[in-house]
Amino acid sequence: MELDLNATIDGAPTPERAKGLRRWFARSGRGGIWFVAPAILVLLLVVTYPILYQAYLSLFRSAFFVDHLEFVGLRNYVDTFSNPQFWHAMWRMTIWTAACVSLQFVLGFAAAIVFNERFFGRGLLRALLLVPWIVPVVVAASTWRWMYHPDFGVINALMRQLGLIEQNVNWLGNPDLALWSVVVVNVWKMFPFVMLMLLAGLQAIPRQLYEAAWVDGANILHTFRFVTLPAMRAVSVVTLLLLIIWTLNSFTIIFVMTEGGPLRSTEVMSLYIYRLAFRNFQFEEAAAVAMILFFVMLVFSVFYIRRLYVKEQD
Amino acid sequence: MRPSRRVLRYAGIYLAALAFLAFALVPFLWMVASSLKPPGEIYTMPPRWIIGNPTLQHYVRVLRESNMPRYFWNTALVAGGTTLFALAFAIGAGYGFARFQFKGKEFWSLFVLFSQMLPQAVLLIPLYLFLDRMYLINTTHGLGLSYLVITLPLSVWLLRGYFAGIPRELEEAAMIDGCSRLGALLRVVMPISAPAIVATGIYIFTVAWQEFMFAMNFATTTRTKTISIGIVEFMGEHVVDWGGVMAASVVVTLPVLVVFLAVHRFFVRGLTEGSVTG
Repeated sequence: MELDLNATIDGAPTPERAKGLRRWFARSGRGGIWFVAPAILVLLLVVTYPILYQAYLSLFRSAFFVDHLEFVGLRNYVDTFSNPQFWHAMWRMTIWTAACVSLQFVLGFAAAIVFNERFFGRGLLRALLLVPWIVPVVVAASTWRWMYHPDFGVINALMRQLGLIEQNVNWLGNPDLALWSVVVVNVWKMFPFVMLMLLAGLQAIPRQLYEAAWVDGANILHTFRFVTLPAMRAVSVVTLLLLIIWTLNSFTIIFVMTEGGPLRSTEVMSLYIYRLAFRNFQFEEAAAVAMILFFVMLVFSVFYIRRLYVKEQD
Repeated sequence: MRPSRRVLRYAGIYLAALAFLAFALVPFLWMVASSLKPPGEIYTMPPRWIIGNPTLQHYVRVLRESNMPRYFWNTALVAGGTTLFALAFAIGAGYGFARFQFKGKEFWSLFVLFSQMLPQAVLLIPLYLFLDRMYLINTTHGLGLSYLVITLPLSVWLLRGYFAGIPRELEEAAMIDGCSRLGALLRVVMPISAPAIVATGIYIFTVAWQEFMFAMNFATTTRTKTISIGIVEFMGEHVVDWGGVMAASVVVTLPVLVVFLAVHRFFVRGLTEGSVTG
């Protein structure tokens, strides 16, 4: 009786019980798949199945208003590659991504360096700097659209007061300017994120590295070039890849501000796919374009994941 | 010489910080200001920097005379449901990946990571056709199902990282005391991880709260439209009610702003994990 009580209170396992437990741990270790399975099944249903179906769909073509699909092999892909509108969207997406990512990165890096210094009220200012990143995309896009307003916009007013422009400019209505106007908005929205990521990197650099460099007579430029930059390589690559993937993916910000216009000057790939499918009802052609975009993204994803994963394993 | 140089440097840094802050905040402040101005003050050139007669008329219009309250309810439903389901799946999967060895573990964790990278535009068409075939177009649960695509992978990843950092001994002690594996997760791991789970939940909620592309195509009835669509509706075809748009924007932004500022640290740690110190 007394012995039993003891066993329950401190749970001291007898040798026999310990062996049983160890075996049980080992056995239950194999049960992991059951914890993971529900999420995997959901993802198979809403990610893998749709993509495979899209790949299948891209091999067919339907006549308008006819509920019959005709197998055309790779015709949709061939037609897509010979379609100037596709290449236009591809080119626009390239400019959009290159401009957004480089500006976001430079601005975010500068902000990270500034906010890595100690000064009064840094915590509060840094939190406030995150506002653009947190504001919902639709809100950001509509607010900037209002600020870009050709007649009553605050941007025209400011630039005229500063003497930068003489006449009101139609920022979103001019095919030469529209894409760049939206780039500014996207840079505004995402540079705080870059700052957050790089700040984490800067704070992980040991102070001793800087002190050693100063002892060796390095100035600010030297330490930046030979201490900061090399130490920031890993986090910079991950940040850049994330930015590229997100920027290639952007839809809402452009759609709300310009709907791809004027004269398709802001029609990147995602908007092109949307227009083909939901405006022109060419679902199969759109599926082919979406598969091409999928493979483009895959390349960047592989780079990103290799970066992240290899580091994880170490 | 030294102190004055330090003062100069300090002033320079402060000025730069304030410049960044101005760039970040002016659009936000302009949104708030525009939402409080009567129409006569909104449409002037040059614009009025100071609000002469602040008014809540735009807020009244948004909250009383439009569909926005209904859209709010729709959005709360779809975002709440998505959060619940995504969290349940993600806690299980995160725990499974963090604690177990099983066949194909490498493959499935890569699979989750890849899903996280997938562009929505790539999934737009097949998901639309899929939901259409299941009679889930223009339903709240259909939209919620599509939101699992964009929230579940990162949630699994964030929680996996957090669970992996919890000492194993705690669960083993619980199991020696007679807990089952699931019991150890529910009674020991989850209470300890409450902050991480809440943060992940808030992340899921904010993503679903502001999603636009899927909402625009998968939910087009008054009973299912979300607030992102509601804001765009205020912009109309030809005449834009800018006071209304700005008021609706403020109303949509405030809840997100408050909660996200509270949890951003955890979120960033999950994203940078492994790459910072590497």
